[in-house]
Amino acid sequence: MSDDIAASRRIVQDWVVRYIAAVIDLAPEAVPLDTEFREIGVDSAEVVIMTGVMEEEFGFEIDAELPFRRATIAGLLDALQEAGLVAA
Amino acid sequence: MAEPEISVVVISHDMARELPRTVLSLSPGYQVDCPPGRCEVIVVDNGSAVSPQQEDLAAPGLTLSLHHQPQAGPSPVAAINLGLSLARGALVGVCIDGARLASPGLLAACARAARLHPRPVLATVNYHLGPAEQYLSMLDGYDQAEEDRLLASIDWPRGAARLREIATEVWHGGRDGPMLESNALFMPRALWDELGGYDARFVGPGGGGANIDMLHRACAAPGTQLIRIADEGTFHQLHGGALSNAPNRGMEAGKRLSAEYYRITGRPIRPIKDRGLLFEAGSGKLRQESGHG
Repeated sequence: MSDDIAASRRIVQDWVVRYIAAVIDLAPEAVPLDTEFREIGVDSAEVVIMTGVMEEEFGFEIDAELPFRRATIAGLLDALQEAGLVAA
Repeated sequence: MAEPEISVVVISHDMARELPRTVLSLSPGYQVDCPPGRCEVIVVDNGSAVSPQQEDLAAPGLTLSLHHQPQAGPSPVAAINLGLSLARGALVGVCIDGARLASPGLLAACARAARLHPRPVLATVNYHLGPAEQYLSMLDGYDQAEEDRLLASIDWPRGAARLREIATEVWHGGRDGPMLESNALFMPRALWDELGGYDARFVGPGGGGANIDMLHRACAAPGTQLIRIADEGTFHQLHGGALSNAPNRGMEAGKRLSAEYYRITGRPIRPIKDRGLLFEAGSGKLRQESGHG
């Protein structure tokens, strides 16, 4: 992923959904966007692991505590968009 | 000198308080069914500011060698591989973190379990001394003084069999869940050689995900069998380690570990889905784990 071009929100969201679906063994279309990570079965360790993988996958840096402050997929994507790390 | 049956590689870095206790916990007077000569302990110091000295680690009947990793970096991987290259025992254990006390039945249980399969991967239990995982208990004031008080309360080392009373089991997915890593991992020396030891690409503090990667590679090797050793393991002493004692930087450290692991292996960190067999020292038998996996 290029450092110069922010990934689109849709691409990052699809990636996060697929990642979480694999973690909790659920079909991607069944992963809710507005439910907190821990409520859908993603514990804090998994969130930290996912954050590290996201950095490698998309080439941006995320505050490790961000997914705990914005603890849903939609909330995390909103925060990344607000920070200019993903494009609308 | 006759070759020992078991070698244990212990890595140290700035553990002046903890390392002598760890080494003592691997000595013949502490370990059950482990007479002098059965086990050798290989300590590799990975760049301590004040290097440990042989006389600080001496224990009655203990076969000990102390080595110093040249050009030590933040990762212990090179030090581990140096230790593995020196191991003479047919069964070799690696303690990536030398600040962990062994349970008194650790060596005997691993030796017995190793005889039950030709290519065993023996994973032992990870504990933290204290009332909770130490990155949490530290936030409530748990410190080395409290840890010393706890050890005195069970009359350690004489009361070593009671270590579990003052400790917390640390699991990735619960006691019955899949395993992520073991901080005292034992395998036949030939299997360590076949796997090439730890992956030198893990250069992060504390080895990052090297220990996780080692367990994965061992379990994925043809014909190997994961065997979890019930109730025997190592107990982490508070020492300011890279992850276990990182209350305010634990998330950042974990994120960096995850990123490095993904960069090197191309996979996210995942526990071992196959929960393997459980060795119970009391019966001396293996049993299949049941439940989710």
